[in-house]
Amino acid sequence: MWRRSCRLLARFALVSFHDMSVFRTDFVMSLLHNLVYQGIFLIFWKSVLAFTASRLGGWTFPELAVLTSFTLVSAAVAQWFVGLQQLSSKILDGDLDKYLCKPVSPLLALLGESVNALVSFQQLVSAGLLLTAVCLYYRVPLTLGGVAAGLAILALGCATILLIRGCVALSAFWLGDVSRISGLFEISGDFERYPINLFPGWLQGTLTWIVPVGLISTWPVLAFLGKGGPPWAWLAVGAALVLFWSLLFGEIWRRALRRYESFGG
Amino acid sequence: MVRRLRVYLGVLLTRMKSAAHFRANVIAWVLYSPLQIAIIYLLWKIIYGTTREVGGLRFNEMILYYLVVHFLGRAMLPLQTVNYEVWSEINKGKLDIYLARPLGFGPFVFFRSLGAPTLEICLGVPFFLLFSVLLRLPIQTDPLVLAAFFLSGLLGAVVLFMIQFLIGSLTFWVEKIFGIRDLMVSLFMLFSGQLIPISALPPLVVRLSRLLPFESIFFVPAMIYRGALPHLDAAALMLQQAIWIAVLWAAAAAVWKRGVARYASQGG
Repeated sequence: MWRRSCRLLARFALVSFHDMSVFRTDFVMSLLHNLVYQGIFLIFWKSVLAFTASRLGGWTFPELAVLTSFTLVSAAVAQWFVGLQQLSSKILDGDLDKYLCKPVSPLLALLGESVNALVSFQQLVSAGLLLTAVCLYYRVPLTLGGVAAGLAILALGCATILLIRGCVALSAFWLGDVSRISGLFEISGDFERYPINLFPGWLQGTLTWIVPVGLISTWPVLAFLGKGGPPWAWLAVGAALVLFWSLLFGEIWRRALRRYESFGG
Repeated sequence: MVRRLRVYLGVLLTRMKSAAHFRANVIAWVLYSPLQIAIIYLLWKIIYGTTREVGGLRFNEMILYYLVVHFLGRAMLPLQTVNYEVWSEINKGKLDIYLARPLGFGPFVFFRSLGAPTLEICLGVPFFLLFSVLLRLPIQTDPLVLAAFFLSGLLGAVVLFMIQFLIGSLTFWVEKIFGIRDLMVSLFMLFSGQLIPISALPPLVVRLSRLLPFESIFFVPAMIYRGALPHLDAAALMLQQAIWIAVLWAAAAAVWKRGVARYASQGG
């Protein structure tokens, strides 16, 4: 079952890759866009730091540049789960039948169909290029343990956010149109770009436990840079959140499928 | 000419009536705007903890700047999809319908795209005033400055429309325009003053910005609203916006003419 699912996902990814790389100009432009977009935030931080004695609450320019490139990594991961954003509309339109009658996991079929493999690849390449350039040029001191901890927190953070998005999308079974709630979630992603440890404690808590954007930006970056104390606390928070949201997602999915009905065909 | 204008105004009114997302816009103002403004407020509060001025703006002026840009951004948001609409009409072969009609496709799309921003302005003004009061920001009362601000905002919207229309028109040659569009969105964020006021950017970027049309969209109207500019400077900035419109209009007309000559669709 797992092997078959993985093979299917790989095929969907390949199809998406070929589909999007047909347009060469667009491919080059998209790659350029990712670099320019990150470059713009670097200019933003450079401009701000010019007025704040080269530091913003303990953050230096290279560290803020690392934070900027990390946002691209989480965006790249999200490209594999674009289907979650379309889930609520498929539920409301009664299009879920198509996935329920396939001999693979309906969720996997739904996600696989909307994978943006090429965009994800472009974003990962851009993030890698930017991260490498910043670390080499500014001689950012890194340790293997710090890098591993940072990436692990990032992975847990991405999983948590995707599970929350999944739960919000599944709530469409009961609440109807939930695009506004999803939209609100998108906006809270604006906090990703800024070091949230500079904000008041209540906001830091909200952005770690309730809308955990801190787990895909500030906290993994601090662990990556070997700053902000031992990373175990954030790893534990991430693991606890993933566990909680996975259980909740599983339960909602089970109940939702029992509730689902559609007409037509 | 008058008859044509009446037709275009009819298109605008129809679009306003069919803007079914009216309720959604209220929700967006109630839910999203406070959050976005809060992010900006908190970030700049931290930044101003170590400095008194950024790019010639004090803390209150900076927050006012972002509030004006946020208001303009919401009003102009529907214009950002013009490139997609043009791409869609050309790519799906629907352009035939418009080419066969006794009206210009460009003005038609322009008036059609003004419907949602008109509603957004009506809805946004009370929220703008409310946020100004809550954040204790000065409310501009000088009728001359307000008139200049609205005129400048309108000119900015036309500049944005022209850029979006030009990007959409590239469909005649490149078929897929989304990479170019995204790249322009990035440049637009920086050079329009949406991310940070142009005056706070490094000198090289400021010089580069002077050569581009983007600052006409947000930066110029926001600086005019602040009311600190001498009337002559404000007039010069609006003249600059008008010149950009003329340049972009000429470019769009030339691209459109060549593009339509290349256009071919099957079926019907």
